[in-house]
Amino acid sequence: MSLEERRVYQEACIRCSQCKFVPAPKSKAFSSICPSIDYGQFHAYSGGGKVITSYALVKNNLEATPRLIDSVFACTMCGACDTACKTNEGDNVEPMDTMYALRAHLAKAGNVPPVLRELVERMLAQGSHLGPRHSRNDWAVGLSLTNASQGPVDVLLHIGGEVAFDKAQWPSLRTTIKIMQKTGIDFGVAMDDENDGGGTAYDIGYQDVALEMAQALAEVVRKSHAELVVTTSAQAYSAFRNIYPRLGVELGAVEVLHVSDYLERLLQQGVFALTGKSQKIITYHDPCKLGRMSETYVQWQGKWINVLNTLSVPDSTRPVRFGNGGNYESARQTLSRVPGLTLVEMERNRAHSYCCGASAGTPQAYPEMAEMAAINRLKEAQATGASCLVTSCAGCELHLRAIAQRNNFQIEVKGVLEVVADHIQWGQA
Amino acid sequence: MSRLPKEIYRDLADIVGEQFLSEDDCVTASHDWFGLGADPSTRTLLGKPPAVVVLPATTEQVAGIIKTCARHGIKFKAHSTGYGNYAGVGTKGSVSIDLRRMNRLEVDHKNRMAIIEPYVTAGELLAEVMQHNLMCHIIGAGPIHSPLASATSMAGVGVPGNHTSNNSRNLLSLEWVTPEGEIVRIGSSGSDSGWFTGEGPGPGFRGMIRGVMGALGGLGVFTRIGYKLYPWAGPAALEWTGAHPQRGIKVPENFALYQLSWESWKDLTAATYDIQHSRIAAFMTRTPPVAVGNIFAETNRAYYEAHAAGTLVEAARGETGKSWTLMLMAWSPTELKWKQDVLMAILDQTFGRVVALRPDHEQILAANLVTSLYVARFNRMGSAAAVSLGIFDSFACIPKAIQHSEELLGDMQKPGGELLQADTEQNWMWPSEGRHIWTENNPGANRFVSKSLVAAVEFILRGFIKGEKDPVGITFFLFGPAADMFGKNLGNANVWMRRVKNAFDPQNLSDSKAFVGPQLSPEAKAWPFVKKVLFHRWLRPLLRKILAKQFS
Amino acid sequence: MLATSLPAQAPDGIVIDTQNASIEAYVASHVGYSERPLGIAKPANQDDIERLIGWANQHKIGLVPVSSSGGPRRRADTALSVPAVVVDLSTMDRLIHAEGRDSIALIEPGMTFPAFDRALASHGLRSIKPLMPRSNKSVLASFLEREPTLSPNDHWDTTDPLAALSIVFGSGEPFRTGGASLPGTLEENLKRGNRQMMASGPLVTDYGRVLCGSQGTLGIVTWGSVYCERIPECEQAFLYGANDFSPLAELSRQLALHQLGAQFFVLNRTQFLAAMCDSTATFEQLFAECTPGDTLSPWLLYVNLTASDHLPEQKMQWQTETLWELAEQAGARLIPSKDGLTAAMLSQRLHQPPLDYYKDTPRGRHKEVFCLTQLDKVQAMLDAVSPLTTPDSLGGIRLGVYVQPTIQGVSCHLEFCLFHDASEERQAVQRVKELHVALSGEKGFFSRPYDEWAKTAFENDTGIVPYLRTVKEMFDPNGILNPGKLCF
Repeated sequence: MSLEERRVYQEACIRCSQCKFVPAPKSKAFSSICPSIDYGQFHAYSGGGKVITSYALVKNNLEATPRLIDSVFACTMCGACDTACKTNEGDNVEPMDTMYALRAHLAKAGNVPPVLRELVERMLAQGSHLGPRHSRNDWAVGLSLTNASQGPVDVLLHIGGEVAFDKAQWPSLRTTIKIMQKTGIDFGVAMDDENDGGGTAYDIGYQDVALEMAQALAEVVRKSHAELVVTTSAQAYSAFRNIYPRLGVELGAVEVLHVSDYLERLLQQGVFALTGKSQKIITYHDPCKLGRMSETYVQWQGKWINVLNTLSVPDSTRPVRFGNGGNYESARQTLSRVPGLTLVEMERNRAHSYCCGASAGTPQAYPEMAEMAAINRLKEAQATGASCLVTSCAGCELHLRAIAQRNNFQIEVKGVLEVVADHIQWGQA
Repeated sequence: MSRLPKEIYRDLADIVGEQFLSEDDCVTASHDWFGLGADPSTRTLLGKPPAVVVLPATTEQVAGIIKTCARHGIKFKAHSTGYGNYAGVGTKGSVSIDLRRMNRLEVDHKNRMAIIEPYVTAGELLAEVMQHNLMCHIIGAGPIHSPLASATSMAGVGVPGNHTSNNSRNLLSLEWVTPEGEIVRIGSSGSDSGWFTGEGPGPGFRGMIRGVMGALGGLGVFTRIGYKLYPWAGPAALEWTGAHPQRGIKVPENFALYQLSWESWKDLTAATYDIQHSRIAAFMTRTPPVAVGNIFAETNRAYYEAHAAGTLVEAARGETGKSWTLMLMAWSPTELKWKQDVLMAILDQTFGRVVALRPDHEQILAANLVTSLYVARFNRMGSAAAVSLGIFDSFACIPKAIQHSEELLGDMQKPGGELLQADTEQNWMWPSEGRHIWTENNPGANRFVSKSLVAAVEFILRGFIKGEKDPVGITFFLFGPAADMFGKNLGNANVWMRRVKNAFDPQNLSDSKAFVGPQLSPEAKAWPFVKKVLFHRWLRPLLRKILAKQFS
Repeated sequence: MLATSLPAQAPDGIVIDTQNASIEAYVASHVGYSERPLGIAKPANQDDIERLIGWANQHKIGLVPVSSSGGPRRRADTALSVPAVVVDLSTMDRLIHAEGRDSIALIEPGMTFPAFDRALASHGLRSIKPLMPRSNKSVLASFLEREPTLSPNDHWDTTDPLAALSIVFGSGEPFRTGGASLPGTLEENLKRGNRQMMASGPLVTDYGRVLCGSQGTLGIVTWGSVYCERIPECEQAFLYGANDFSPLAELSRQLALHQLGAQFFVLNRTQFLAAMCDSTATFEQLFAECTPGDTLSPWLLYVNLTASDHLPEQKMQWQTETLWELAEQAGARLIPSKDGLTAAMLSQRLHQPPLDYYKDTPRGRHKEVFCLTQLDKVQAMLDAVSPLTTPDSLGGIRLGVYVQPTIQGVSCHLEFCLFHDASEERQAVQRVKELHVALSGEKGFFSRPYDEWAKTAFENDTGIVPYLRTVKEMFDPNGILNPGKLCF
């Protein structure tokens, strides 16, 4: 949708500031939901502020000043504002969709921070902004894997740049592969044909680039003939479910799972079990891309009308994403299977998780903001008394770990599989 | 867009630091937006943005900013969470003092109070004090509002008011940066004795700047207050249930919630007196049925579908609209039992009944009673709202308040009418301190449809006129030009406000169109004629034409 | 500059009594010094007051309003510091209206507590009171002075139980506050069903609040609405005791938190005895009999549980059980009767105070020092003043202490009462000064500063003075009302 087309949503903003806060906070320390305004401080940085900017851009013909660009792009596109807004406004405002349109509007005119522009250029050139194409499959050295581009497979294992290019993720990736090999499932990896899914490009505002990358990945999926795509990338998972439908890119009759879902499914099937004992107290960070931003987007072509004299409603039933449909439980279920492992929830969890600052190119373009967000989250993790912060997103894990080490937080940061790896017992428990 | 001269901008930057002010249009546009719709306007961007938004971190910085403004004759206005945006500047080119960085909170739980800065939200305060068996008053804006802003500068009525009063009463000592930039502490903090009272030594000075309505941004900036807290017999943290956005709370142990209904307002009034005399109720609110239905619906569409299908639950239908939602709060099972027994006896004597609620609906209502989380949903029932009454007086005035509302509404809520379709008036109502009633009537309107917006504006004015001739109680909805138009009949309150304004803000820099200005407003000068002539029933079509032109 | 003699022309329709006997009686009604009034006027209604103020402005005559019908007047707010006319409102003493179901009544300034209770009884109401006010004390004056009441759980705000007021400012302008500000006369409003229940307003004004504590320097109240207590179906009072103040501070806090108790407060034993005795001899006898391990603890908390006619026995039962639990947790013990001194007896005296002012019973005279503070700071203040209150330090002076939680427990009134006789006058005056200094050092808030205390109070808060003077100019531009008081 264009900014003009978003007018009816923009005008519904009552400027209540709910977009900045957890709907019912459990403490003052962790009441904020928006890293963007926590960083920028001016209302313009909030979800509501960006809605107003989007309206003013058209109405007042605002110039895309450095401050305007800053207020729009110093944002991880985590969707927390959208979820919070829906507390009372339902689907009347939906700041996230306006923010996508806003970024697209600015990107079209070249008004994007140079760092982010370069990032997208690298994506186009290399298939990922996180590393060169020739290194993308270094993780696979020594592994015997089916190339899904060369023959049909039942399951396509999509790796994703944040796993492929992060050596710290390779042990967990290898464990995943080992598990899958143990199942006897026919699976493959697209190897050199695999690109990132276009989600980050879409987040930044380059919808054309996103479309190109999405179409390419969709083609890879089609070529593989897989009925199931398992991705280790939370970013890709979110893109498959939430972005591709916006772009009109379809994967066909293919089930898409995040690796955390898949592993939990295999655990339930008894392919492996988790045994032993742990004394650890952990807490879990819900990645935005795996959580509220992974709810399936369904295109709706209707319009808004007034009924009951003044009530503004969509003219037909319209699916609304409240954040509840995110992937919150698989990792928790898996972790709960480790005897003695105690999970203490952070105050802001599931649909109201506070973004760690890792996505939409924020660590590259706004490192200070990204660090601020991570510190906020790490403090919350420490407040639970946990010795380890666990997450299911490689991007979150990399970022949180780096910031934790930089700032001497006495808390480990690990992925789910890393936590449970020592407890794996093959076959029925 | 207007800009400040460079040297003034520099002066302000020297006070707060370069990164904490901005004159960028995207920043100022955010402060120009009026989205609430409770005051009908066709515009969202009002066309009067501030020249700059400044983010001070301390009271001293606020004082410095104001002195800079005073030196250069520039208007300013304080802004905290900015709900609405009632805190928007009154004049294009003013300085918006955004108090986001001032958010310190200190809980003095032993003495049932907190000391708060402007950007502490009610939700934060509630979370911090609940662990001490305390809760705070929360106004209709919900947990995201600033209690300091409400207590010093706005109205301050809220759903839990039977238990938590209203903010004209919850304000204790306060720190005030005057329109001339002087830092004054009013009450006990002035003697460095603490923040526990706003009165003394000698006269209660705070009565000069906060009445039934707060200072509306017209008398400087308030940077810290003592704020009163109330007992909470529930758990240290609310136990949330359900899924967003339809979350509720588990009704705590020793609490009980009831949705009650009566056949007549007379019977409801009799029951109200009994309930108050027995002191059984902690939380007691009448939410109009349409609003109940909306609270039970995650979206407008969900509400509309239920309405169209005839599947709205009983509590959301007009036939049970003579209602109270009541929550009993007790510290022990025996106390609760007594309260329940008394309630049942009262219902029996006054022909009231309990309306059945689904468990999830009960929990949602409980959450709303304690946190006001869902009150703001009334904003989505129309892109504007008409409003009438807004009064405090005896419970005995309840039937009259309803009658006033119904007379004003006429056919406007019928299908095809100008205001939100509903089968009852839209009176939100609750006791304040268990002593008297507060009620306001808020039918939704549509500001993008001329007919509806005009009807809303006319409705508001007719409400004021009706309130002049036959008042139901004392109102606070008269601010801005309305204060001048109608203040004459309230002891010339507007004249006194003007004297206060001229005494404490001689340069008229504390920029608020909601407070009276140094001179009688043009609307007020024209009003006697307008009222006499244009509000005559024969001239109604002409009036509507004029309003349509004014507001389109 | 105010005139020092009466003009030839009197105000229309108002007699100013200049008889020597009346003047002398007024001066003598003060415990401290008062200038001789130029005369005494007794207006009958608001119109009279407006004319009187108009006349006073015209001729620059000072006016000192008083509401209580006689002395002894102790607090110097009614003592003249310059020649002025006394505006004696004591004969304006009507109950204008009472509404039982709303627990509210409209009264004139001359209404005293005993008369008020007699008038309220038929409406099922009784007055909310301070601690055993003197029998000729004006109800409105008491509340306008912000005297603390015994009912913390019904004390929502400093102005409580006062609601709306009708005022004539020193400028001569009439003004009705809060719920009284509605258009029309009071009679029209009452007929319409309005009940003047809101204290604040209209709009951004709360001049009732401003007038409270102003000692008559800003305006004269001609009537006011006052919240009352519904006469309970049943009530039972208890005394709890402790050797130190702290357990009773905690019990007070819990009573406020649980909203339990229609009346509660803390006294030290001396103050308790003063409240309970009708003669100096009885007081001295009981005082002398008190021993360290006495039944009557050094500190006593009085709490009165009440129930309306809604299952009252059931209510009294759970209230009593809760009270026992809270007291036990706080470390307070139930005090049985001693020498016939019971909680019930104190209740009787609270609701129907003796004709003779209780503070003069122990030794014939008394001096007070009080401030506002908070319950958790009282102990530190007691410790700070303890060197001044040893038997050696006091000699024959008896020291009473009264702690009244206010605003539902947010703050409290801390009062020291020195009971003394004529021979101890000088010593008592000295102790008062020292107590002021000590309390001031502990940040006690002198919100109601009388006489010389005003100097200390405003030295502690110089910041507010210019703003109060602006208020004074606004409401009393010629400075005719109670000249020389506070910081004016």
